[in-house]
Amino acid sequence: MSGGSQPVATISRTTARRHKSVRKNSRRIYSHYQDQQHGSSDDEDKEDGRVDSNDPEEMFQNIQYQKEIIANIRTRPWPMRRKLKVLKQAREIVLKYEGRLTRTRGYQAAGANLLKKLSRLLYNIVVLFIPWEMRIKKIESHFGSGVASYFIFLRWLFGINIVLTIMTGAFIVLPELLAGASFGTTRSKTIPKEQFSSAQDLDTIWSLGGYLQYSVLFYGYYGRVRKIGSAGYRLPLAYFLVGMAVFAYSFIILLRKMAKNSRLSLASASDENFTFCWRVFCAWDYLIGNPEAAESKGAAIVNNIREAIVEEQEKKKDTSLAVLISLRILANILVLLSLAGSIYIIYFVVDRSQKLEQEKPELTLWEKNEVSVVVSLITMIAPSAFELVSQLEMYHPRTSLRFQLARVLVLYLGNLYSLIIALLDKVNIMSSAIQVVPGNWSDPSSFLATISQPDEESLSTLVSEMYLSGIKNDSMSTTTTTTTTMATIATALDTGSVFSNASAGKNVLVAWTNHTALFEKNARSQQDPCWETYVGQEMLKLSIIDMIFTVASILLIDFIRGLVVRYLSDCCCWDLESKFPEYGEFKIAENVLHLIYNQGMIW
Amino acid sequence: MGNKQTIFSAQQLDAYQDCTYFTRKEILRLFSRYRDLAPQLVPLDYTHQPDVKLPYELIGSMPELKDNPFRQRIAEVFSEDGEGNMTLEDFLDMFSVLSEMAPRDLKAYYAFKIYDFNNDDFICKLDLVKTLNKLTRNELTEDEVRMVCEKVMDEADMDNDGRLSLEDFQHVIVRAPEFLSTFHIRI
Repeated sequence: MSGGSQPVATISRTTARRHKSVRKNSRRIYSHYQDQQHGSSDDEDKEDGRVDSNDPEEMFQNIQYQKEIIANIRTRPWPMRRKLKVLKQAREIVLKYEGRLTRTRGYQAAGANLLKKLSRLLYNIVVLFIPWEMRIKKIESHFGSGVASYFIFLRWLFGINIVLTIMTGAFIVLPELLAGASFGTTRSKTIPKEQFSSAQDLDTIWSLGGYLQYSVLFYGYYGRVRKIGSAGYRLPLAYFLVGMAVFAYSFIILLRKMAKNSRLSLASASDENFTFCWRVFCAWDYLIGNPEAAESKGAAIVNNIREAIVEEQEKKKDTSLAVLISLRILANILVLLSLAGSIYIIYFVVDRSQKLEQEKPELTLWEKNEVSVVVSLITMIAPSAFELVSQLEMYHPRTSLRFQLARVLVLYLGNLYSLIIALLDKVNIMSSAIQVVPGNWSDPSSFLATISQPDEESLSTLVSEMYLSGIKNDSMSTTTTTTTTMATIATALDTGSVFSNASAGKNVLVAWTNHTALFEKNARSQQDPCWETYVGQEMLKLSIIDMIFTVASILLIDFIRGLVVRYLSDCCCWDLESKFPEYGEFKIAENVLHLIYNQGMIW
Repeated sequence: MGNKQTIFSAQQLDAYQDCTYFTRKEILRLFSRYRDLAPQLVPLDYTHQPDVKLPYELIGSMPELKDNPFRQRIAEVFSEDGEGNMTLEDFLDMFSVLSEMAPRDLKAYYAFKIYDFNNDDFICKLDLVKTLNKLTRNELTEDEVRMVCEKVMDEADMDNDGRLSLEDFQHVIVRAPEFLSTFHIRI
């Protein structure tokens, strides 16, 4: 089979694609197999009857239909004899009636064939360009389609972010770069003299001050001139419209995807627990060819099933109803407490950082990044805590998963919202403070350099803030995307994350997503206290720190754990691989939620 | 490769290639495997479509199948008469579905038929018990068997009628990561 395997592989790939297009038909045919079996003779009579009409149009359609049948006969679950019969008939019909077609029809048929061939070729080429296709296929074959679906989702989000980047870049950044006033001319674009000496320190760069602050990245760079350049490009208008367009695009694409998915998905959760079914139906390896292997496989299956039974029995231990209910109430109380706690912590930390800024001129690294670190820590630790708590509840795994996801979602949303609110409060306080001290330029610039809060702003609130709050500043609101400077920083941070591991793929993909996340920060910078830059810097910081934490957690928790389990299980007394600490499991649902959380930050 | 073979007419070979996932070379190789099972029964000239059926005992003794606990069911499902006696075409069909090129849906369909012992298009409790016993070679106790069957029904039966229909089964199997690799015979 080795010689023929190559062409077989290519044939199968192309036929597989053809099959995909008629998969709907196949499924219908599978489920109606019984009807078809009884009606098979009628079927063939009907075919003959149809062909006898002399209408050229119908003949043509019929010939196409027969050709389709021939192409897909392999996928039918019919007995061989029937397949052969149908095939023979279809071939005869095509041969017989193709000669009867007029010349134009003949050309049309040839054209249709050519078109089909071309489209297949094009499809093959396009598939080559889909990023990471091969890698995802490999993951799928090793870990199953559930895990692969996570990566497909990630890739889709990445695509969306790229489109958003292009939109904002093309309409806002480029015109500004090409036609706007150059660096150093207007006040909003120059680094004030106090900061100049420290503009290139790593510290300043980390807190996104200095050159980064006064670049296309952030808000304040953009002048408020109504039209720029020789052609009179209305930059402020463009900014506003691009903002709207970004939202509209995201919304539409989400709706489309949801509609598509709702058609395909059956009414059940994606992470179903089919352990017993799989252990019964998929356990036997049909490739086994010798009796000893068969014996050992049989014994392994028996053990497997026995283990599953024992696990199941432990789950079913009868606890009295009262104890069960009180445990569940306790668990819920704990969860609510921790949710409230996390919201309060975030608010508190934002508040504290503001007070710190007002008191001390120079902050330490920790204090600058405090809020981002706290938020990232919470998002990292809380889900595991919830999982521990949910063990108290002793629900069916499906239900407990649903509870878990709901709690994690509430946690994420709560965090983000409390951040927004805290930051807006801070901004309000700042702006009122600023209006009290109108001429004090040097003070704001110092606290600009010590921005340390992560934040999430939605564009619409910012725009509305801009128009409603009437803050007195020189700069206009624009969204920006990063330039190569951000890219270099991102790659510098990323060098530590290249390693080979099963989760490396995930990590690299996550890092990439966060790159594009970085590319889309709304930021406002201010020469005069411009809260927009502030907010933007916060968000970028939050993104960066979240990425670092994810990378670190993968490295430490999963990778090292894997190494420990694999190499130390020989020296340890109990089997490390199946009991604690086993290999880290790739929790699909939680990771997907994390992706959504990241995307929320981006937006 | 050349067209030197005289076993099949060109049309027949084409038809077999269209109806299975095998190439010309593989079909010829499969034919020689088939013939090796009973050289005195299988003629070398198939152009006139001789009606030759190999009894189940010969099929079941093939090295690829003889250790498989489900070999009888497999032969029954793919044979025309439902008893396990296979013609060459059934033989080709069987290995085509079990090859690695067959799509998941097709395999799931045939897997369903294999596990449906009484051929009523549903996997009922009795079918499950038989499957489990064949799989574990009767090593599980009755209690364990009963428990496992209950759990399987609990997990997979979507419409709650006490038996698994094709849709239920496909829904479960299509999500199994190892199904494609286990339900595969290489020949």
